[in-house]
Amino acid sequence: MNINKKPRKVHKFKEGSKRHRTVERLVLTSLALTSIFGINSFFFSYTQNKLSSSIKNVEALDALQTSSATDQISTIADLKRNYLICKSSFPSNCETYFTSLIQIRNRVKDYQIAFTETLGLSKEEPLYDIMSYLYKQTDIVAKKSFDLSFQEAKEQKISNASQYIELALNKKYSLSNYNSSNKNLISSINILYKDIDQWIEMKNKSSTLIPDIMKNVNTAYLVLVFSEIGLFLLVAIIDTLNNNIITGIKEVN
Amino acid sequence: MKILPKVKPLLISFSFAFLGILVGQKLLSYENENILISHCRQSNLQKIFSYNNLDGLPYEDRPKVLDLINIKDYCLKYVSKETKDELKLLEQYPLKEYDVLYEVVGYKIRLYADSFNRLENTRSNIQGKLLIGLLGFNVASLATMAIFLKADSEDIEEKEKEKV
Repeated sequence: MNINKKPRKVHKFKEGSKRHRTVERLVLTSLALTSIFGINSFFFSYTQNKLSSSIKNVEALDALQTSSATDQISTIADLKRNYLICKSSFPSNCETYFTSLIQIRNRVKDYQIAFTETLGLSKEEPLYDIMSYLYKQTDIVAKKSFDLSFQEAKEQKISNASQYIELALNKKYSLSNYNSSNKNLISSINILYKDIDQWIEMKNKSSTLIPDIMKNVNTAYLVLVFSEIGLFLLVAIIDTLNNNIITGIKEVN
Repeated sequence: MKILPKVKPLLISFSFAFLGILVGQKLLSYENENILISHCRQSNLQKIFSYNNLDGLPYEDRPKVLDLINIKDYCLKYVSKETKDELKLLEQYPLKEYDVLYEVVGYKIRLYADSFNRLENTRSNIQGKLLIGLLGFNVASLATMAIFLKADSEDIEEKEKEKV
């Protein structure tokens, strides 16, 4: 009986220690995998956020590109049409032209807000200066053509185009100044839209492309997937080893 | 290595949990692509707005805007095969004529919109089914785990009796 017991105990000990060593190694590997998973999950969230912000940026630039093309065409078409109407009986027939000037001013202000607050345009960039220049240009057209700037009209509490034209009729208006300043205004509008197009192109080129960001997201995702599967398998093996050890003891008994 | 009968339910439980993990990962991958598909749909929606605004522009200037109404290359990946076939057919029209181009571009953006909507609906259905599947696998895993725990408990009981 005693002779038989000794080798069994050794066998049991050896089996147990071998299992335990394996479990220890597996636990270390699973902890390493957990670290990889943890670090990678930050990278995954980072790339996902980057993808979302890039998409927002692309959508904003895309919308701006088509809307600026439409704006340029419609603004210039309106201005040209109203210019001719105004010219036909200057300045009494200039209400629609003056309204066009107001619309241009409002649009430039909208652009300034949209570009600085949504698209991150700095106030020091040349595009912002061009917008400010065009805004001033509308004032120059008003002053040179109707001898009444927007500021002066504001001071005289003029609230609509007909009141403005009524007041301009008593001022030193000039048809030749009207022609030349309108020409300058149209060229300034064209310059602004050309610069907007270039700015959009530049932004599109400098920003990381969405397919590239998507590749990073997919890589991070795959690392997450494999580390999770690896971790799961390791834990499953450890659990199985721990529960299956009883076999040895039972067999010994 | 011999597998004890009591460990078998544990292995089955792991298998169900593993399937649950796979389904969860598939759902996560769906979520990533959903961001891109939603962006493509949104981008196409913007094009539809621009297209609808063309009527207010002078006729001769419309092609300038029409040229900007095109879909991003990476969005084509999410367009169905049937839609791609229809798009190929549209390419055969004389696109240099403005009126034809106008009609073709309009038809294209409508096709893209339909395709993205269909894809989103299909994916939404599949995601719903995957979620139910995930729940099922989790429940099955827990149930088999319970069976294992019962066997484990019986084993502990037996050992205690042996000790006594």
